Amino acid sequence: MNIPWANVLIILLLGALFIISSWFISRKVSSADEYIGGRGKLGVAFGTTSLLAFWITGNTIMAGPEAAYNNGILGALGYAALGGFAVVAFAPLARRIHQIIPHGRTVGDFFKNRFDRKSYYLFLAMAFVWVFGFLMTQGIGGGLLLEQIFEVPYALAVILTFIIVILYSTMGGFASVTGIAFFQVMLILIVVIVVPPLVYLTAGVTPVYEGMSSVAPESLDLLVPAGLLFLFAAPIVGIGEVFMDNTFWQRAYAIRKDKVVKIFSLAGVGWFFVPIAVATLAFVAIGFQHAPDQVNQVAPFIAKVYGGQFANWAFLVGVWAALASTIAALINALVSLVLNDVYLKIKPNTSEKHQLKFVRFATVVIGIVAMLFSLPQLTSMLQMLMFLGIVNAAFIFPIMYGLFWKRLNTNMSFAAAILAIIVGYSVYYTVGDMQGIISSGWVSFLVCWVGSLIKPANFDWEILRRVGLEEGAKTK
Amino acid sequence: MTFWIIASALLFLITMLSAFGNYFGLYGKEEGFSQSEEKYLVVEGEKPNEHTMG
Repeated sequence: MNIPWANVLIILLLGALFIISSWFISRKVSSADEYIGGRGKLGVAFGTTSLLAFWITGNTIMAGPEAAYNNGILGALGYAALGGFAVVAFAPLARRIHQIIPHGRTVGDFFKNRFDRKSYYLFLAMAFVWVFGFLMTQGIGGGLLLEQIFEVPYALAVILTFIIVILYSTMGGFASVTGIAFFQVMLILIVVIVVPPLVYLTAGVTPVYEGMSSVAPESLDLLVPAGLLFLFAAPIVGIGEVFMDNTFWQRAYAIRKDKVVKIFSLAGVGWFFVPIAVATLAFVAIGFQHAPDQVNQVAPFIAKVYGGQFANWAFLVGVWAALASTIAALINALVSLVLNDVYLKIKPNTSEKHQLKFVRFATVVIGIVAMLFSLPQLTSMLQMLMFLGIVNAAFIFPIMYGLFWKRLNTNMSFAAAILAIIVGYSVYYTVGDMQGIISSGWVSFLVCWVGSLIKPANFDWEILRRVGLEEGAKTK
Repeated sequence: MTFWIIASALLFLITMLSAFGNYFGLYGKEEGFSQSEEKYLVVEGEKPNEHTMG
């Protein structure tokens, strides 16, 4: 097989830069707590870029244009709403997390202390499935992208990406992930800010518009039913993902309390523009009827054809940076869950030194396992995200009401999650994927709300406020 | 399809209202901690956050 060494060299150079930077950052990391979080240390710049770097995934850059190609302008707006509203919606939750559970470490801490044991174990199982599934899709998506567009063999692309990420995230954990995220966001922004204008300079705005209105006028229609459904249902998927994802809880703790609402809102608004910008590349494909066989590759394909070699390499760098930052953040979030909700429950008296050794070891193991699961290409990125969207939607209201409403009944929230998952998957297989996600969200809402009005609880917030204080004293 | 569009739009609205509900008293006064009440949450002996990055 012919290996494009120039493309491999770009990845190796970037990887070397990340590893060296990580070594520099990691010198300050001396405890497991710093490795998995670092409380209240992130300000506006690092906080916002850390959120953006994690949340701008390979999917954002690849599936956003795919949605625009399938559903026109509504597709682009729907994809932007998917992630943008989700992060904005998490802003008040992040502030609330700081207020009511200031010494927690993970989303597991909240579930364990706010609800009963069965709810905690159900959530923990679902959270592991979700984070690991997401991690796997990033590996598969990255490998496919590098293979099909940049001609790097799939296995080489996956192995190279995971080895570089494992190396740099093992050194400094959360500090490395967030420190390098700043640099990665700059690279991603090159794709977003430079590539679309370069393409439109060649293609021209008027010919693209005229092509769209004559060849596919429905792509400009803002009232197409399928597009409208996507526009409203997509944010539910994103909100469920964000609320459940420990990566966001880690950042809620890591960001300064006084800046947390501002940072999450800024990151959410900033995120809106990323899929919209890259989705405009799909409009060129529609207008000129010039698309690749695989629709999910429409953005890099158009960048390469109309933007030239520079746009092609910028796309490679930007997409790989997006993938690496997301994989690194997910591995770190999973390690944080494993340490806090599994390892420390089995060995509660482990010293800080041993905890630090364990988290480094866990990073390598989880990274290698995710790499091995990514190699056989078990599923596609979008299929997996839609499938897990049922679970994500089921936990929206137990998490949200659990944080704000003391009348939320534990048994009702457990019943809501279970029923929402059952109903959601029944509709998913009989009606459609988006409909399944909507049904899951509605059942979750109605059971939590009506159930708690009929049988209200009276939760004592003091229980959450004390979380982490005794464990912290023990390890010190 | 119209049914699902309305259902998804309503669910989205309910979700966003619930997320920001604490700002307009959706969960009742006793549920939230206002800015002035936040000192209640400061734990004795705890140092303020160190701002080292960003």
